[in-house]
Amino acid sequence: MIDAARLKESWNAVAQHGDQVPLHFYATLFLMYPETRQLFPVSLAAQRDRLVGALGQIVSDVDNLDALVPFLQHLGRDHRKFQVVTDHYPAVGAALLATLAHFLGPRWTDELARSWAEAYDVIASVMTGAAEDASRTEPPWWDAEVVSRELRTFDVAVLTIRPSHHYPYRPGQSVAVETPVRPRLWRYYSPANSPRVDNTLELHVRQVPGGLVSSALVQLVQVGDVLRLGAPVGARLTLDASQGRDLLLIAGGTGLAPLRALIEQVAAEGGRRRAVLVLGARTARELYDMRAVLELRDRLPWLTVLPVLSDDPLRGGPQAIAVDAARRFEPWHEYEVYACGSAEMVHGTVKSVVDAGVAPDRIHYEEFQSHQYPPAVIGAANVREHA
Amino acid sequence: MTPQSSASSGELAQPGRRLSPLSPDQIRNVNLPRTTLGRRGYSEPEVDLLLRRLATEVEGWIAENTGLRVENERLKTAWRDWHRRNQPDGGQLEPLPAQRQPNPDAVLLMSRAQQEADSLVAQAQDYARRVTEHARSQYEDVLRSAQHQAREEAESAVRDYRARAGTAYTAEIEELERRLAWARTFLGAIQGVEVQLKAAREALTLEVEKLGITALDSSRR
Repeated sequence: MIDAARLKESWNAVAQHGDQVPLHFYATLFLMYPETRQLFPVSLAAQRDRLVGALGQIVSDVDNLDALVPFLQHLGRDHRKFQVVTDHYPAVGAALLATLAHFLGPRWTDELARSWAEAYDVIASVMTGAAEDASRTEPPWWDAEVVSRELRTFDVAVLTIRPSHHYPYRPGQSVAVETPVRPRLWRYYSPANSPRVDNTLELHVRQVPGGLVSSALVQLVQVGDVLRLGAPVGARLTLDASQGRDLLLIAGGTGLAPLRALIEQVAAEGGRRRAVLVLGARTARELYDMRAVLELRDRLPWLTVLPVLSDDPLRGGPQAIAVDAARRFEPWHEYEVYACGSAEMVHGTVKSVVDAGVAPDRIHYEEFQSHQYPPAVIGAANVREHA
Repeated sequence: MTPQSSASSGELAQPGRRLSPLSPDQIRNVNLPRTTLGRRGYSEPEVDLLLRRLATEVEGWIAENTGLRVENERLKTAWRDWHRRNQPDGGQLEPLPAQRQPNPDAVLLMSRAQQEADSLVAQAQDYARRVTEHARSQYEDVLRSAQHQAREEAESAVRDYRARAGTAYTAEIEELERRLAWARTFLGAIQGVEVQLKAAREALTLEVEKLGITALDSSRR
């Protein structure tokens, strides 16, 4: 049996060396198995933190299989989109053991080496097993052609893409997207529509200053380009059809996307609950999707739309941030609250709604931990590319 | 307020425990919440500058540390070899270490090259970020001043109309004059922005393109 205490202790000792550990790991991996280099992007700065984060998580749960196994299974399934195959696992294992040996020096005994080798075998077999299971039901990634790209504001584009095969997702989930312009860099976006008959998805992309993928999607991607999509992830912003409470949806910027998809879902389910969409933006120009939103409002009698501007010099009248405007209307105690937008906006919104007395388990939002991996376990959001 | 970042204050100060070191990437992307309106805080550009500086310094320390570690290994090995050669039995070879390890100098070289690449990408991204932010704030400044200018022109058009209309004055025509002057001035000012914006966007796209490092991409697409 795996000696959990010994693994944890040795990992903690190694982790004290910080960024040097993954740096050594990747250098070792690429020298021993040069063919693995092409699986990674040029810059590995973020990748190193994700590796250490995932390893730390695995080691800390090594004696808690109920948590560890689902984590590893997700990791294994998710790695298929990176074109990781079974053959890569022994390579990573060898580089990992070499790295541990390097940092532990004389403390790396034969016995400890055996414990780590056994633990790694278990980890690899759970991951590859899950990957194999998944490959029976879904492809490692979906190709999706860009059918339209509309620049709606200075820095927001709306892309319509058509996956080559049926793409099974639920409104509120996120999709990892890779562009041909920036291979091997994946970022998460939430479709702004519920599943359609023609299989198309609408992505709302704000160009994050300095963001590699978002700037490619907003500025460089052309109609006809083929993106890759990973399997849909996330359950923080999805909506349970069986539970029929009314909805308060608070959106900031492109955080509108998953919330619009939820409105479409309620419509598809027969519109049996009320929904109030509070749409926050700094200026009126930033309300980039009003045509679609107003079209929904006109069609759906149970939907109320409240655009809120926080700082528009062209408009007179009262200005506020979305959640403050929402709080002026109802107590919202009986509502399910969904919030999506920038980290700052979501953070402030959640705090304010909790202060207003809404039970925390009725507030739905995603955590922002972009250096963590994989996002499905800790949540993924629509606007989350780092500069 | 609690920080929402990778490097929260909680992580930074845990008494009685050795700190898990922050990586340069975590420092670069630390997401500090803004203070609420009216509360004093450090100037944002200064903080950003300091963070970038710190990330670069940490990168340097890591590179130096890695070099020292390799040097240390080399000295230990050399010492062991020397020791062995000077043994009375003529120095039998030690058994090979259980783990296959690539050459430490190669690992060092590889790590340095990777850090260099990471740092260049980070610099380029940072530059692109500043260009975009600058373009955005300029865009908003120009819009704001266009609005202001348009309002003034509209008021002066109304004054002119009142002065020359005499008894023919009607409120409808006054409103028409106001709107016409407003729209004409505003559109004129905006055209200037469009040109600026286009130039900024083109410069930015070019910068972003430079980031599309495709040397390793020949295997795909």
